[in-house]
Amino acid sequence: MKARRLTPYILIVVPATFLLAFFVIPSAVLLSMSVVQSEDTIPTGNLTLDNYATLLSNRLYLSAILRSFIIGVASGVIVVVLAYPLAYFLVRTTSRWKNLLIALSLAPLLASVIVRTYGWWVVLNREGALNVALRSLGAIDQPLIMLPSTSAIVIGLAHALLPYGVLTIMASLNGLNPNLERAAMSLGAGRVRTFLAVTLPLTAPGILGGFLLTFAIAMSAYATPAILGGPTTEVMATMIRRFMLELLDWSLGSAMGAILLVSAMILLLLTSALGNRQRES
Amino acid sequence: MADPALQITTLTKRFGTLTAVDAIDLTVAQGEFVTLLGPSGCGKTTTLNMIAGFVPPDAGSIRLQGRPVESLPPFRRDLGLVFQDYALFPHMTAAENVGFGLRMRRLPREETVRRVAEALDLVQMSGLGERRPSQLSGGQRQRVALARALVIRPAMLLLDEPLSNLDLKLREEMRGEISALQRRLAIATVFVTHDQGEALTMSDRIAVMRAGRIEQIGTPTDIYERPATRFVAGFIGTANMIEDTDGVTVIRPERLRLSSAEHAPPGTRHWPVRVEHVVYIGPRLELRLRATDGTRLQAEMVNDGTAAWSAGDTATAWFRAEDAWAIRTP
Repeated sequence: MKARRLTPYILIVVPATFLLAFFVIPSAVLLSMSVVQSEDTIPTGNLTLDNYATLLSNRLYLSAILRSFIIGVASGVIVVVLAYPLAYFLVRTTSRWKNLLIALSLAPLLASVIVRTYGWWVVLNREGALNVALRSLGAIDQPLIMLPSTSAIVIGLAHALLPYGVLTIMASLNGLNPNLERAAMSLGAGRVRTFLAVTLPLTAPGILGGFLLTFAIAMSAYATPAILGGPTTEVMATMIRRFMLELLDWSLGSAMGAILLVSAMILLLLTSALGNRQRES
Repeated sequence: MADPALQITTLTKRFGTLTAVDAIDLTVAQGEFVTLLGPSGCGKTTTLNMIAGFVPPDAGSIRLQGRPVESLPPFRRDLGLVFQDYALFPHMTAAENVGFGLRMRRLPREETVRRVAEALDLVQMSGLGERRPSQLSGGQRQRVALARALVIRPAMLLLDEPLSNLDLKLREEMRGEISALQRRLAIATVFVTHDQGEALTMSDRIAVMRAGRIEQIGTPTDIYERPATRFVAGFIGTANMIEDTDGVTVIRPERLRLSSAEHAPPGTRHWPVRVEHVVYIGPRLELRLRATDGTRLQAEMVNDGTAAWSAGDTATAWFRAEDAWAIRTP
């Protein structure tokens, strides 16, 4: 009896300890580091908001913050737009290769982000596959400069994160009662109108989920911007590394980390609140 | 109108090696209520799905109001459908659900509003139009689904086990309401069910299906009192089936009589039996009997206070020739 009453507590102790040790404490350290000055990684005692003021008043830093947002939103939109038709096909196909096709669509998850990103580097660089191909076709005289660029980062991230979009949208399509589409059709709605009036609005939570997941990962991504970007395309994550390891200004790095964390959380809360309101109305 | 509402000829559907619907013929007259009755897997739902246009037939023809529709998509067939799970659009109010078909037909706004109100009124749901399906009870959802199917004034109504998700009391209530509504609107209806009670009480005619074929089609009285096959006799109601040399004699439990005397009236078939068990239903009593030759029989009688049987009693079971029905095996 006593043991049974304890079981739920024991079950939450392990994940709670894990979260406390690896998320809550580091976040607290990060936030406290961000409101003090520091000299050579050693914090001094004075409370100040100077770090934030520095980051939010400097054009270079501001553009990194803005670029992270743009990359997050663009990757999210591209992933959702590409993943929806693919997920729709994978859910609805009656092909006997259905399971294989689903496995193939999710296969990118098996390769490491670094490998996939260097793949894009091989394709996009000055002497890369795309330039060679275009030049041998006579389409261009001079090689196109595609790296480093924000677009390349977005392409790389959208490719890497596509499976997340496919998974979330497939889940919502699978959860859709097939009789709803049949009902719409029996009432005179053609295939397109059935899709727009029934399928799309009822799978909107999956679209939103896929977008948010991609957005959150893309906005805080480090490896892809580091490989496909450069000094002119710094994002928050690469900036944090620079503060921490090159400039040894841990307070500025922490403040940038705090901005990343808080802004991502606000956006997630806003969008999920929007989603909830839509579901209730 | 000279054409029947629905005319199906040699309609066939195969799934792999399984023939789900095997060359069935069926005609539904204008205003007629026809039930497809059978156990699960008998092909009744596949037949309905072919009429609705969700499943393409492998062979045969379907004519709706005289017009061949096999090659038409579902949205051009002009049918009103009610699904087992109602399939109300969860993101729309009851009124928006009912108005969906009218919006797809691009009717003027005022007419849409008026007809939605009329349809909700028809199913006694006026005043609840602004509710979402999630805020409605099972019976109310059923009514909205019915209004949504009827408001488009379809060529005919298809009902796919619409009562099976309701509890017993409500189910019996809705049976009566759907029947009354169908008669009032005189709309040709195909009703799919596995519930013989629904079939007997609601239908003008019943088509009993088994393994992709129609075993028998006829009025409820035909089906119950003059079953064409053993399957029909056994599937609808309870039947005592007495093996004869050239077939079986079917005698319904309520037509099997019991007397305490040793001899039955002259000219009747009879057995000396022992009452093995009395099942108390309330208004009726069900008696499980065993004849001295081992035959098991079942009798049913009105619990009117005159029947005083209990387990262990011996009696004579008998029936009149006109109360029995013979199925001759060819």
